[in-house]
Formats: sequence, C-alpha cells, structure tokens
Amino acid sequence: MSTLNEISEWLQKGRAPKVKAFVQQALDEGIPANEILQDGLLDGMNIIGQKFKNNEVFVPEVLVAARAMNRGIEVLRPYLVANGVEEKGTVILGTVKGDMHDIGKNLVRMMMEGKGLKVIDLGVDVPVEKFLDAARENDAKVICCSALLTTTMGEMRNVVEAVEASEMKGKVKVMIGGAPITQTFCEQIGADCYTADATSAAEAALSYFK
Amino acid sequence: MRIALIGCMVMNREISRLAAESSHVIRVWWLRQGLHDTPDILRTELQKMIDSVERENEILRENLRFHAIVLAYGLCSNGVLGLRSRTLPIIVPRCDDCISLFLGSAERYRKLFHSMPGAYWYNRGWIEQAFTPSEENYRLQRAQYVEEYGEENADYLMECTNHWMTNYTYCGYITCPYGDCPEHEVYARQAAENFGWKFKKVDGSMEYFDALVNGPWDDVRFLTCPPHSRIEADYTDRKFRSVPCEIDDWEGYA
Repeated sequence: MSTLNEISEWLQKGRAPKVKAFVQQALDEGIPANEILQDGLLDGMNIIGQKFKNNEVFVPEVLVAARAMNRGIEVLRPYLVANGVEEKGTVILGTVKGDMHDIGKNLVRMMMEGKGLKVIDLGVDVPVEKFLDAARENDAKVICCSALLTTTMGEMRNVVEAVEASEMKGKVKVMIGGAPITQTFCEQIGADCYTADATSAAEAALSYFK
Repeated sequence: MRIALIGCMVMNREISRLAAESSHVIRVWWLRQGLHDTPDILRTELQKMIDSVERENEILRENLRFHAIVLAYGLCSNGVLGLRSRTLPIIVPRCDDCISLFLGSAERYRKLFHSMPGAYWYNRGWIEQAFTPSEENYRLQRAQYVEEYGEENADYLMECTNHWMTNYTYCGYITCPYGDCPEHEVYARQAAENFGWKFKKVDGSMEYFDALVNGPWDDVRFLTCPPHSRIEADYTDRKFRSVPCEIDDWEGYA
C-alpha cells in the first residue's frame, strides 16, 4: 500500500499515532505537503464523511477520525504554511442562545476544517449579536447556527432577522442544523440553507466560496 | 370512551396509575425511552403503532372499538411530526417534551427553562428508564469506548461526547407527585455534586398527565389531529397544527 493510502486507511480507523507516523514518512519520501493533505488526510476524512452521511458509521467514528486528521495536519502545518496553501473562506459557527450542546456543532467544525475552511467557533449559548459581530470582525460570508432543542431552535429565526436588518443582508448566508431542524423550518424562518448532517454542512458552506 | 394510548416508558408510572383509575377504558402501548435521540425512528415506530391500532380497530366488535389515539409525547425532537391516521383522531399535548408533562404545564417548563439555564432534569422515570449522567454510567460508557475504539481514543471520546455537561449549571430534580423515592433524590444530588451543578428540587404535578389521559382535550394544551390530516409543527408556543394530507404522502419526512 502506498504511504498516502496508509494515511487514509489509518485515519478512517481513528488511529492518530499511526497517521502521524505515516505523514512523517510521506514527508521523508519527498511527497509534497499539499498532496499528503489532499490524497492522504482529506481523502480519508471524505470517506468517513460519506459513510457518516449514509449512516454506515456514527459520531464516535467521525470524532476519532477527525482527531487523527488534526494530528496529521499538525505535522504538516509548517510545510503547508511554507508552501502558501491558503484557506478557502471564513465561517462563523455556534450553538444558539439557551442551548448548551456542542457535539453536532463540533462535528461540523471538524468537517469544515477538513474542507479547508477557516472556522471561528463561538461555542455554545451564543447570543444573536455575537454571531453578527464575529461575522463583521472576520469578514465571514457564512454564519452557521446549531440547536439540539426544540425549545431553542426559535433563536435561529432571530439570527436570520438580525442579519436581514443589518448591512450584511444579502452578503452573509445563514446556515442551520441540529437534530430538530428541518427543511420546512429553514424555509419558514427564511434561513439560506439547512443540512441534515455535518458532511453536507461542510459541502454546502464550501459551495458559498466557489 | 375507549382510548388507545401510545406512550414513552419514561412516563409509565404516571400514565399507568391514571389509566387504572380512569373512567375511560384505556389500553396502553409502550415504546422504550430514548427514541427522541433518533426522531426519524421515533416517527416510524409511532406510525407503525397508529396503523396497527387502526387495523385492529376494524376487526373489533363495535362496542369495543377505540374512539381516539392519545400520544404521551411532545415534539420530542420533532419525532411526532408527520404522523397521521385513517379513522381515529390523534391527541398530542402541545409541549416540547415530557418535562412539561412532569411539571404540570408547558408554561411552567418555559419559565423554568429561562430561570434555570442549562438544566439537566432528573426524576423517577428518567432515573429508572434512561441513561442519566452519573459517575457509574460514565464508567460504563468509557469501558464501552475502550472496547470499541481502543484505550487511546476513550478519554478523547468521553471529552467530546460529554463536554456539554460542563456548560450545564443546574440539576433540576422533579419530585414524584404520588410518592417520591428518597434514593432517587440522593442519586440526583450526587450527580449535581459530581458535575458541579446547582441542585434545585421542584414539585412534580399530575395535572397535565390527568388531562392527557382523561380529557377533555382543550385546544390550549392539546392538538386534536383529525383523520386524514398530519401533525405539523407551527413553531410557536402552540407547537402543533394539523394539516389535511393524503394518507400515503410522506414527502418531506424521512
């Protein structure tokens, strides 16, 4: 098996030490850092992402794979920076006010980072203004709101309305997701995009930067 | 009246008690606690039960037939959205989940939700039927992660999947209105201490359960969804509305 295949395979198994070792080996073999990233790490993460989307693997598999990816990226980072690999865009991410849950949001962050997006993660219990301020400060094109509870999903409407009422209207897209969220709800509150899982969220966010 | 009641096991004590004492004839079907975590599966299971109740109803003698299907479910992560029937009205309480039922009203739950931000609710049903945060349960969860994902990933997975707990601030313990078990309060107090949450004891109530099981189902607290209509969310405090639909039209639902 080629070194890049080894990286992808071990990443899918969530074996961070193996991934680190094979990333180092690939560098030693003279494989360009960007190729190791694309054809090794991101290849493995994309496969896990697709399996997650198809309910073939579940949250823990994605979490351990994402950790293995991040460990690999740590080894690569100095070489990537030296080669000037740039981020594709900036996304603001957070769980809405009143909601303290972050597993889904963190999965979205990992998947987006895996797609080369810069993610400003505001954490949980994020008030509307904080989403807008962060988008302004970071010149972000996308705000992503997460909610686990039916009691808090209404906050997403407030984010959409605040963006509409601001100078960011039409420029910043609002994406929403979380267990109780549906396409119908998305349309009802006028959000720009709903996705059912973290993989689709990352794909949708990336499409706004193309 | 003869009622077919489909309920979540987390409420089995309250509902069984009321059903036994009711002037109505009530048959109860139970689903396991925890299906709100997979709302599409919850919806499928509930619809299967509704269909089976209605099929059975057709072959019953007329005087033994059901008159209504009552769901002991709230929105429950939207698991009840899309449900429909062919012949019987479906009654569902206008609330987010069972916590409103345990507290006596959706209004009371909303008030407590705001005055006790980040509250994890414990009560008898939850402690008996559900996975509730406790050191013992987390020890078991970690052992499972070790088995499935290896020792090197276990602590990381525990951190990822349980990090939300550090964002919570309250342990809300709802007392059991027909006789509390002291050991359950001890369990909840211990969890509060272990996880650094403020312990707050609030009185449970049978009022909403009573109205659910015995009726009459007023429009303020309950949706009555007629046959050939489906339950939809209205995203207000009323939670639901009914919308006429074809019985096999499931577009928009997984």
